[in-house]
Amino acid sequence: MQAIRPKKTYSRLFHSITLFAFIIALSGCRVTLVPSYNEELESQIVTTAKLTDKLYLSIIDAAADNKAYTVYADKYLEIEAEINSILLKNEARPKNADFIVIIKNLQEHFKQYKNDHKAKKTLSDAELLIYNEELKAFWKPLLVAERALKIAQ
Amino acid sequence: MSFDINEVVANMVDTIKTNVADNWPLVKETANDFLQDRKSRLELLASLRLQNQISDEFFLQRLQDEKDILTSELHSIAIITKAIAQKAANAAIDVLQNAVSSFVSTIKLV
Repeated sequence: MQAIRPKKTYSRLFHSITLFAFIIALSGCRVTLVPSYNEELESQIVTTAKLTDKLYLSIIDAAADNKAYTVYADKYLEIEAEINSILLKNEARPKNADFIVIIKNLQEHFKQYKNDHKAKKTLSDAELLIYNEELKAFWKPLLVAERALKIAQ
Repeated sequence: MSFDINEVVANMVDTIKTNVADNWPLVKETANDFLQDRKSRLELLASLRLQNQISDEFFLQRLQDEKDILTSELHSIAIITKAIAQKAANAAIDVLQNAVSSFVSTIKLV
């Protein structure tokens, strides 16, 4: 019984999109539901996600006495500034509501994890590993969404 | 010569169906991909907690974070479905506009 539920959900969603598109098409004017694809933004997302991954891998790889927040503060700030820049660019785009939620979630959690490192002075490898995996999970929906905008072009 | 609105609407529906069907796998694959990622993260979290490498408090906080990750993933899927709907709707509008343009050209020739 549980195995067929996702199929039913997908089928409903498929028919909803088809009906939605038909109703819009009947209005007879060009439709804009999402922002235009931006290659520069996609590149910035990929680069900053890589920087985030590299930061956490560097801390994990460092010797126990070299994992202090102060050693990595500049790298944290560089990534935070890039995330702020991605948010600003998206705030200037039309039809940006979904993107803003995704980026603010990423921004909030990056700051939270950074502040945890700052408060504790150092983090264990297990904590760093989890933070890296969670941040990857916050980056991925943003990259997937930006790439999906190519469909609408 | 008459303008057959039924045929035009049928062509519009076909165009929408084709467009949605062509891009539909991306929605399914993305949703499944997000689910697989979640499974891996939860396995990692649980194993680190069981090995006592992270505290109970840290573990519970990360479970809370999973709710925010899910929110981001759902918004990402919403963007994909909207992009598909936009492409399909605009393709259908093109069908309508082309049909009207062709009909107007035919009338002018007559």
